Amino acid sequence: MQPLVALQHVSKIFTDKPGEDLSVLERINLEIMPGEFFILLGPSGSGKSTLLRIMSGLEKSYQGAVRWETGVSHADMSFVFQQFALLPWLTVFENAEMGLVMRKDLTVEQRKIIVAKELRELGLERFARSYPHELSGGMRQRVGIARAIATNPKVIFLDEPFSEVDSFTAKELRKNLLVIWQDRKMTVVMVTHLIEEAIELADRIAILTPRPGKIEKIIANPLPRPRNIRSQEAYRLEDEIYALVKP
Amino acid sequence: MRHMIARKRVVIYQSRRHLLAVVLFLLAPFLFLTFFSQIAHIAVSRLYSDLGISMFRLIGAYVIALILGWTLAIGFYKGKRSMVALPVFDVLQSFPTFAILPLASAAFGATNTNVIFFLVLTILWPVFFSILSSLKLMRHDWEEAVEMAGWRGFEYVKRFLWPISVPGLITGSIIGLGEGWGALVATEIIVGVRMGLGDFFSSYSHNASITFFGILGLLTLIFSINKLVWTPLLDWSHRITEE
Repeated sequence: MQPLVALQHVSKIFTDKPGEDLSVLERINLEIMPGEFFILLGPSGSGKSTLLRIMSGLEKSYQGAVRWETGVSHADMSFVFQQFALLPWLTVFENAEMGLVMRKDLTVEQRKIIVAKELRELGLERFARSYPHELSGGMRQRVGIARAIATNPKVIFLDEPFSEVDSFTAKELRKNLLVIWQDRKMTVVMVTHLIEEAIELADRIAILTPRPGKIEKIIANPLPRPRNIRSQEAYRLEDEIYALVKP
Repeated sequence: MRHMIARKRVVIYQSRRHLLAVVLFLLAPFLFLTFFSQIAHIAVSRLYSDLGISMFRLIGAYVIALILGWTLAIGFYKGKRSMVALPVFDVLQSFPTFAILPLASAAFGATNTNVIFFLVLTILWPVFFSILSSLKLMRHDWEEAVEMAGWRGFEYVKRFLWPISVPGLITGSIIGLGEGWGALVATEIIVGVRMGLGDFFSSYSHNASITFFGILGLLTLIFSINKLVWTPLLDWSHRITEE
């Protein structure tokens, strides 16, 4: 099978001041398969969010190459942000509609139907006319997810999407995400610093080293779905990953 | 707490008590002018026409400065263009505008154009820099969300840049018009245009009580406009960008 995306020798150096270079990523080589749930795991400052931004096209300046499978364009990608990034002057409905606004192949009516369906799926239909400041953190991230899936993307990037919500809400959102991923067969690339989260969700986990981020190891997650993260196998995998993650 | 205050403000603008206050604020300057004309033995028509023509000059200049300031801010808020242009704009805004008044008078004479031109220079920079500040302070992930959504061109400006620029536009308008009122009377007097508040104050400069009550009337008008237009707009603009 051809990879959906292949990263070849990707490096990133930030130059804030002349002569003060900060290398955040060093020679990253990586392949992600279509339909895969892939997680980038590492300590703070390992460059995992930067790597996600490079793949999604938000970060344009880097060394190396990011090669997408033929036919995959920027329009096939969506992004879920750590701090939701909802536009406060737009309603829940309008925020979820953002990715469809420029689509010439859809009428306003068709856009409405798509957005209403996504809001219903995420339990947001009653809040369609609410503004982001009227919602809880968990609800806001549901809107962020609805916005990302409304365009029916081939790949969805998530940058620590559950780090701003409480643990109970995070658990619910992880369930929602798994259902969406399994139903729609999209590729998911997610960043997290939580080992348990990675074990619960990922097919494969790339562990990054502290700055400058390099791939320490890519681990395939053999646990069957639905996963029991309190099983002996899960704990063994957690120990294995824990030994690899350097603070 | 902030949330509760915001809600309370929304209710205020719908209450009967507030509507009554709005009507009073609206009537106050006109009642004052009428009363003033009686005690000062000045024709009401003279007062209203002087005030009207001055307001016409100020509003004309404000509209031009607003369009120009917003367009410049949108064009130069980021990228290489901003690195070159912003220091130039900073120097221009620091330039003492009254210094070019003699030159402008030589070019335009004692005309409305001259007064409006001078007022545009006065109002432009507060409007421009306030909008610029709003745009520069926008959250980076909003920009990224919009980039992922693929918004471009007119849609990008209408749906994204315009709402972000509104709080700055209103703050800049309040500061710019505050400076504009001050510059208006001074410019009208210096340029020597016929009609307007400058003409009124220079005609009655020998009469301290008329000058005093004239200034009081002007302050009542400015206060009313501020309470009726700008304060609600400022509240609203902060509410729409509140997270």
